[in-house]
Parts: sequence; structure tokens; C-alpha cells
Amino acid sequence: MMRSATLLIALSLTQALAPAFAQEVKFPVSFEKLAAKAEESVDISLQGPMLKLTTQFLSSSDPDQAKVKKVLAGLENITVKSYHFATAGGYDPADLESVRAQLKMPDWSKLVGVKSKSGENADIYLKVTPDGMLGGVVIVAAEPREFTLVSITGKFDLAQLADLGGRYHIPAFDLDVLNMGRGNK
Amino acid sequence: MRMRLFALLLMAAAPLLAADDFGHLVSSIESHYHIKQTKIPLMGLANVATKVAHPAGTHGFRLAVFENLQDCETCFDIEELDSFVAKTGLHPLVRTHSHGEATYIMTGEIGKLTKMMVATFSGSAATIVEVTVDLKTLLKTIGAPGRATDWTDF
Repeated sequence: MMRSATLLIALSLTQALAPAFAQEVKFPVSFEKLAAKAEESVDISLQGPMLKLTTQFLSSSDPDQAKVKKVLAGLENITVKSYHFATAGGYDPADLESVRAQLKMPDWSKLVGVKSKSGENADIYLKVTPDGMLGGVVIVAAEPREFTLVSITGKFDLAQLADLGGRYHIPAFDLDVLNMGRGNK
Repeated sequence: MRMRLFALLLMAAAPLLAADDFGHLVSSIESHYHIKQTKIPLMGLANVATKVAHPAGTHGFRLAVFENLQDCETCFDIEELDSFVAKTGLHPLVRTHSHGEATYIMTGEIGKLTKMMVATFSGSAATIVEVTVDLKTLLKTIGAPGRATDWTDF
């Protein structure tokens, strides 16, 4: 009887905690319609098995490929959405705000936020797992005529993340800038 | 007893009946744009040879080519194509579109035999290829070190 009660409590705790760890950033449904309005669009969605498959194409003997292979081994999901419009106003900035709003949850912390008068904004958000590893990163880069959203989930460290820059349409970024941003926080 | 057998048969046949993603996409395009795919001579023979010899792990392929669609430059509507592709039941890995050209790369469940489909739409032409492939053999064929190591965890 006692054992069953313990099991029930454990199960209910697991269910209560599960959403906190499984939390992923949800992109607005309206993004699905943006491809038709955009001049150019890229939509990449690589999940567990396909990411593992990708690692099989990378050589362990090539130092660069070996680095990427190591990063990919810990990842669960890579989603990239990028849209370029002919004119300004092709997308609703409120949609991007809805993404940023999700990243104001306690799990997430803003690492870098860049705003310019010309409307070019870039934000990088990180999610740190209880064991001190990174559990996710979201990059939101927006200009009046284009925007790019990158969401990566899994377990990795910041130095590894830089190795993915320039691949899968993930923008290349300078690790020193990220470290500086974290130091200032 | 008969009912049980019928139910079992139905359950066994369900994946086969639902799996014609290629046929679904091709027929969607044919009916929507009122076109027929271009006939390619000896394609059936090539497919039979593939099914027997499994070159590079390929267990079968299907190809549909559409040409001279309504004699226009940008006939394909991205929103319509998105809806056709969404109905196939395959997982879209990559979707790109640029100035009226669109490419979709989709995959079925990753396993021993994996279905992959690539569809490109450009101007007034389109090509759709579906390949059923043994990924382990394919990667071995590509043949670089470190490939095709452990597939048990797929």
C-alpha cells in the first residue's frame, strides 16, 4: 500500500516537473503563411533521429567535422526559420514579440540583446539545465525586411555552440562577444 | 473469430494503404494544375532493377517530372504546395523558396528502410523523387571513415 502511494506521488511529481524540462519555444502558426508572402524563405527542422543521421555523414578524422559531430550528438532539435521580404512590413513584429515573451520564463536568460535605430535587432537567449549545461538556445535576429529565428534544444556547452555557426543556416557568431555579454549580465 | 481476423488484416494493411505519399503528392499536383507527368521510357525497368540489385542501399524509387506547366514562369503557389506537402504525412526537413522556386526535402520514419522524398518546383517545371533506402548501406557506400557506425539506437 505504502509502495503504491510512493509510486503514485513519484508519478505525479514526474508529471508536474515534465513540462518544465520539456518546454520548447513555440513559433506562431502565422509563420506557416509567411513563406507565400516572402521573397525568400528557409525552414529547417531537424529532430533526434535525423540529427543522428547527419552525424554519420561527418568524419571523425577531420578536426572541424569532428567538432560539429560532437555538438550534434548532444542535440535534440534544430529549427531554423528565415524569411526575406521585398518591402518592410512583410511580417507582424507582434509575432516575434510572442516568441520573445516565451523566453521571459525563469528557465531562460537573455545573453545578448542588440537594438539599432534602423530597426535591426538581435537577441540570444539561453536555457541552463540544473546540471549547469546549456539545454537550449534561441536566436532572434530581425530587420524591417527580414528575420531569422533559430531554436536549438539538447545538451551542449557554449564553446561547442560556436562550432555550429555557419551551418544549417545558423548565423556564425563570435564567442568572445557572447562571453562578454554573459560577463555583463 | 472472422471479425478478429478481418481486424488484424486491416491493421496489417493500414500502413501500406496510408503510405503512398508520393502518389498523393503527384495526384494533388496533377488534379490541381490539370497536368500529367512526363512519361520517361524504361523507368519501370530501372525500378525493377533497383528492387533486385539494391544499388547503394536503394530498395526502390519513383520519379515524376512535370514540364511546361501552363507555359508560365511562376505557376506554383507556395501556399498550395505547402498544403500538398503537409498532406503527405512525411516529416519536412527542409523547405526553401526563392523567387518562385521551391524545394522540399522530406523523410519518413528513420529506420532500417527509410523513405525520403525531394520535390523541386521551378518556373513551369517540377520534379518529385521518392527513394526507399537502407541508410546503413548507403552510408557504407559513400564510404568515408566514421560513417555507418551504430544504427541500433535509431
